[in-house]
Amino acid sequence: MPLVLHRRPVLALWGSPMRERLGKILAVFVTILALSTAGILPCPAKAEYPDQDIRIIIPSSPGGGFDTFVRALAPLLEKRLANAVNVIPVNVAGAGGRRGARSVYQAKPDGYTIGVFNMPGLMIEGLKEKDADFSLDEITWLATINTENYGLFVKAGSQLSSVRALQTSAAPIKFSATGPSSSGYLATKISASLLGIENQVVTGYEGSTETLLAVVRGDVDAAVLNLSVSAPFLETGDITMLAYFGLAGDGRGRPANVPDATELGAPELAKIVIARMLGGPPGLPPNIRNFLERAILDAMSDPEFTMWLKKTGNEAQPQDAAASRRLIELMMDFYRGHLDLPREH
Amino acid sequence: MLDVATRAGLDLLSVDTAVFLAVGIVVGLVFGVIPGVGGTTALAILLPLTFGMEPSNALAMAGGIMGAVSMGGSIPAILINTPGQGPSAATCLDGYPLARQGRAAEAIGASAAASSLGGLIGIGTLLLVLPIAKQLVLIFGPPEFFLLAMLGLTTIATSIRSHLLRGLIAGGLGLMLASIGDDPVSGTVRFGFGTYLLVDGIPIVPALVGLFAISEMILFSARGGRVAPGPAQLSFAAVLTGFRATIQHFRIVIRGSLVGTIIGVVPGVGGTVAAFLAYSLTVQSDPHPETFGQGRIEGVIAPEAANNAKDGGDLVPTLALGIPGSAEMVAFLGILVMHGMQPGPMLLLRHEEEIYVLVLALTASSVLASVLGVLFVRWLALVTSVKGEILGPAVIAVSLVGAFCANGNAGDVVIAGVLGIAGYMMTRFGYPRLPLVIALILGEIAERSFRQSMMISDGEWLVFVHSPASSILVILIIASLTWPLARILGNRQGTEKKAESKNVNLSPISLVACLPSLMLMLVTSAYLLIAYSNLSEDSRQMPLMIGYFTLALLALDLVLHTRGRMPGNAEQLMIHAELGSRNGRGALMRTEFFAVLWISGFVAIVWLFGFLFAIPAYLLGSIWLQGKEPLRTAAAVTILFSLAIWLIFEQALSYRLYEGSLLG
Repeated sequence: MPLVLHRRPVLALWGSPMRERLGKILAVFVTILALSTAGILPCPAKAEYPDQDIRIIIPSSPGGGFDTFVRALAPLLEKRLANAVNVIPVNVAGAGGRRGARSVYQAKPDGYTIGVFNMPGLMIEGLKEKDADFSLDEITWLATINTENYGLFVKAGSQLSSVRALQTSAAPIKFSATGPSSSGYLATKISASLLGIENQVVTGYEGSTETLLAVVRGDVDAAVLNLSVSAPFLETGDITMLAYFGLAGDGRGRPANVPDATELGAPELAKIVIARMLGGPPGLPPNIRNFLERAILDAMSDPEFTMWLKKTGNEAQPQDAAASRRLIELMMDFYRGHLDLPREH
Repeated sequence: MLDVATRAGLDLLSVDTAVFLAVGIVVGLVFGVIPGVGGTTALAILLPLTFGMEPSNALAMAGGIMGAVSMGGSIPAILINTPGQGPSAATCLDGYPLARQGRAAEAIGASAAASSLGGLIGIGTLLLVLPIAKQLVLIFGPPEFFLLAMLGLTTIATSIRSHLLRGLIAGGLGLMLASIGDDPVSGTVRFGFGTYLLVDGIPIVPALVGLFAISEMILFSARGGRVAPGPAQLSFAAVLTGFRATIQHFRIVIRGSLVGTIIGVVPGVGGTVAAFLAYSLTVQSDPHPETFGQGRIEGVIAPEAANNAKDGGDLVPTLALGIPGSAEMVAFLGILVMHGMQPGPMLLLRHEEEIYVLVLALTASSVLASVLGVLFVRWLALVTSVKGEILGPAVIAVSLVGAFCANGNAGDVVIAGVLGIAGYMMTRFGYPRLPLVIALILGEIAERSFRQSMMISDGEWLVFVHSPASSILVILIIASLTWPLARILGNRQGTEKKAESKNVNLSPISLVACLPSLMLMLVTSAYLLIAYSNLSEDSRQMPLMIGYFTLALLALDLVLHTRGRMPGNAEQLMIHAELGSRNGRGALMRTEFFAVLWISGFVAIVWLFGFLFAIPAYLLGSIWLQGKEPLRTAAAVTILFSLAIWLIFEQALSYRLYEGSLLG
């Protein structure tokens, strides 16, 4: 296009003394161009999978919770691959993780692009049918890294010292949350409704720690948070946990005397979880899927990974592909049933 | 505390830790210099490498990077008006005019000294306030955030030198740009047009690359010439002059550092705001505000001090609460977490020694990076004597690659290109860019925290004066508004005379200059129409307000214009004088048109065929055909630059440069 627009100057130079050298220089230029384009063109597949680097798409910026998990896992995954293949974490942040999810969804199903998915955050737009860019039903699920339960928190020393107090409060209870399409907002809305707490959600906090600090500062009365975010602040006594949304037996490190989902009379609360899952594009061939599933589960049981988890205070509850698919279906059903909730005010 | 600090100091002196620190400093400087990639990228790339390292080595390296990046970023900002990273953009404002006068070495000297001092002050403050960090961060809730953003926006009024109306219009346009994207309160996407391109709003780094680097380089492609047309003072004595200037203006260093530290402590505002705010405050308190933007050394010192001091401030919420103060800190948090140092209230108790290693590394880095920067200044400053016909396309190519790499998003290349052309038009027709930038950065924070405050207080306005911090901020806002206005009123007669004399110079082009006003009115009307018809009642309030406000200002501008009462600002007059004298206006408009066309073509080819094809094609084409350089030169530059970009970005940094929507 630009060449056409600038035809005049091209012709003008054609007649100049430069002309003799032109051929030679253009040849060099074209060679370089050809060499650089050669890198772009896909090589025909030949040797046994995997014979190229595998990219793991991380739908958030470097340094986030997902990112460190994947980066800790990547070298251990590498150890399990033949042909000296690298596992490269790639950050495709933006649009609340949907950009990353889309790029996995649209990738070629050759096993060289897989990604981490953040549930249920990614589900929400899809369930509202606002977003036709990718469909989670079609993703080839490989494994689940971990799931995490939520809890209900107030500022330490708050007069609202029990779920009962929240339920019977005269004024609506103010909650803090990130944006209305986030997992946290949904967890807040659904749990408050299951518990019968009249609520108003102050949205727009930038992350889960900011959401928590809004409680400590007294912007709002309460917040629904996942346990790993709240743990350090529980330890310092800044916040008090009023309810644990999991079932008895799980949720290590939660304080004693906090009622769980069953004791609260709302066992459905246990379905509100954050899940970090690995998946590939739709139509990933079964042999590649099985290979990756085994390699990932293997890497997660590597003693080095266990040590890293212990050192960093992270938890993993690996689940295989079949369990991950079930988890997705379960979550989809649950959120579909509760989707009208966020709209009512 | 002292014995822990000593032990940390001994750690740092051990051979391996010192080596990691040195590596960090060099990496930080290099990443700072390359536009688009900055500390965030450097730390992110470092992240997996630190996996097997001792925690204190990893922190020494991270500290080295964080302390050095801002020095690296200032160098291209001063030399070629290309901010190496967001916070360096404010340094362009006076640093680049200094380079144009051949005083690049002096500006870099001042920048180095101010960076070091600012860094030290920031770290000192960090150590002082770390024990009370939580209380400090908790001071800032949504009402305080809103007031802080308003304080930043009111500096717009003071940073505009000769033309208040045009500055306000630019501010309005900036707010309009800021309203694009996901509305974090209601969750609706505004002006997204169904694509992912704009869902997260206008990204800051690509926007700054466009508004500063690209728009300046369009000017070069159109005009030719060199950054420093005269003889450049590159001796070490010139650097020392810069040092001395910094010491002479120590008050500005202190003020800039304090602004940087405070903004750093407030999570989520970021170094770019800190640098611009420090700059604006310096302009505001100077007896001759109109001389800023034309090469005042104070205009380099203030943002540079703020820029480096903010690292210390940023670390306060990051270490004490695990809230990243900036994008860079997100990556840094990753390193902490990777090594089992869970940031938060317990971090200081459990990992005191490592934290001191970090602090000492940061200290050493902010001084050593400046020394390194100064050592290389002589060679680096040679770039200012490169021909504009070659420099322009080369910088544009690198900048657009940088714009892509900042978020790995091809759409950002388009945004940088469009804003580059828009930024060029703005300087060309006398709209200042600074208010647009500040409004773009602060608009989202202002709106979000305002709406949050209203929700928290159930619509009670008193929420904005209910804490001591908010009351102080209100007083500062009032002072910031009244102080310069009082001065403008006081000096009224003097300036009006000056303005009239400028007006005479400008008269031949004033008709052409009506067109931008009309076009902006059209754009604003379209914006209003879309806001009115597409957005829910909740999320369109603010856009409508901004739109009507901007439209009214534009109408006033047009009326004044047709009445012939429109003085141009100094920057615009300067460009007109330079452009006009070259070939006459017809020829000028033609070269301008083609320069813009070449960039549009470049962006389009990147979009379709990817960088690896677009870069050689654009470089060869625009240097040879547009710049009329000999083919041999053009080909040599093309080959050299294409190879360098490929080696640096694809090989060394293992980015996958965009491959185009057709090939990718």
